Amino acid sequence: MNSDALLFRPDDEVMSCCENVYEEWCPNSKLFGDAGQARRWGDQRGMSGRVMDPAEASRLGMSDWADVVQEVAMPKEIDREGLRRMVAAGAQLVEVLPAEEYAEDHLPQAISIPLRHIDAEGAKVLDKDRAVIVYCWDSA
Amino acid sequence: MSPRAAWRLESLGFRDVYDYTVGKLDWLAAGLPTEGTNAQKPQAGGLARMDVPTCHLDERLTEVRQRAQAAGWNAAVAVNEERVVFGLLRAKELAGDGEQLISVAMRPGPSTFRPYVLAEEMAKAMLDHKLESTVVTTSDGRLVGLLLQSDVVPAAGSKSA
Repeated sequence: MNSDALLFRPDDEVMSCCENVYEEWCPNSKLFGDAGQARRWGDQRGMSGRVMDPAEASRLGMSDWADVVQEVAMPKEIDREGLRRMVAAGAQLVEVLPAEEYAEDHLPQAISIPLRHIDAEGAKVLDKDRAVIVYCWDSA
Repeated sequence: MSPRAAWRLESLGFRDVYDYTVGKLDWLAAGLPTEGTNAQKPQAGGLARMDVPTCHLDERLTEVRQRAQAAGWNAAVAVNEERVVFGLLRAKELAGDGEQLISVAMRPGPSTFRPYVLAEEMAKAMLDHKLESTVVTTSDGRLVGLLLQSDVVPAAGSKSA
């Protein structure tokens, strides 16, 4: 979850009477970098409400924001054991180091896509519907 | 590098992206198998003697010495129940006063090498530092085995031949 992503949620009575205001909350377009910005957006439209992150909005039953939660979901860190479990369960494993380093040593079942080749073309070998795990040399 | 790769994949529409941030180094240091040209070369982990005698801190030196000698060794590694290395006893330490506890007799905190280091690098390091033997551990300090100069030098030579 990207902690920078915030939204302004009008109070329920405002929500129910302002369809068009709600529509304006198109996912991705009304995410704010900080709480002050979000609040000003609400103030400018004369709405009472409060600032929250999309995950909370989603929990409150605003199903539209479930997509946003997904949209701003950040890559998750995984450890060695997690990696072994996920690869055994079918996750795709990608080494992003230069190809020469991959040739010397790589994890079993890893494929090589050097960082510079990760683009729409390079990613075609990957299945978007399955989990992907990337790694390089270390965290430095 | 991998965080950027992970985010780039997110930007390309991948929804379920994970970053093994500690990376290949963590995998190698744990002594886990890899594939590639280096995997064909002799490495510290594969050459280390895994049957090196081990002992615990609260044992008497005399018992450990007898056990080591009976097994044909003049070295022993002090570990805990988790096989985490605490100390090393080479011939000199093993020859000490038999009444001593291992915690006193051992050379504490010996330098250790990781299993993925290539034999050629190990041979150079051991010759440079005049090490007859050195401890190989995983990154979490667990004993893999004792690497002998007499094993690693020929292995390194056969590689370069």
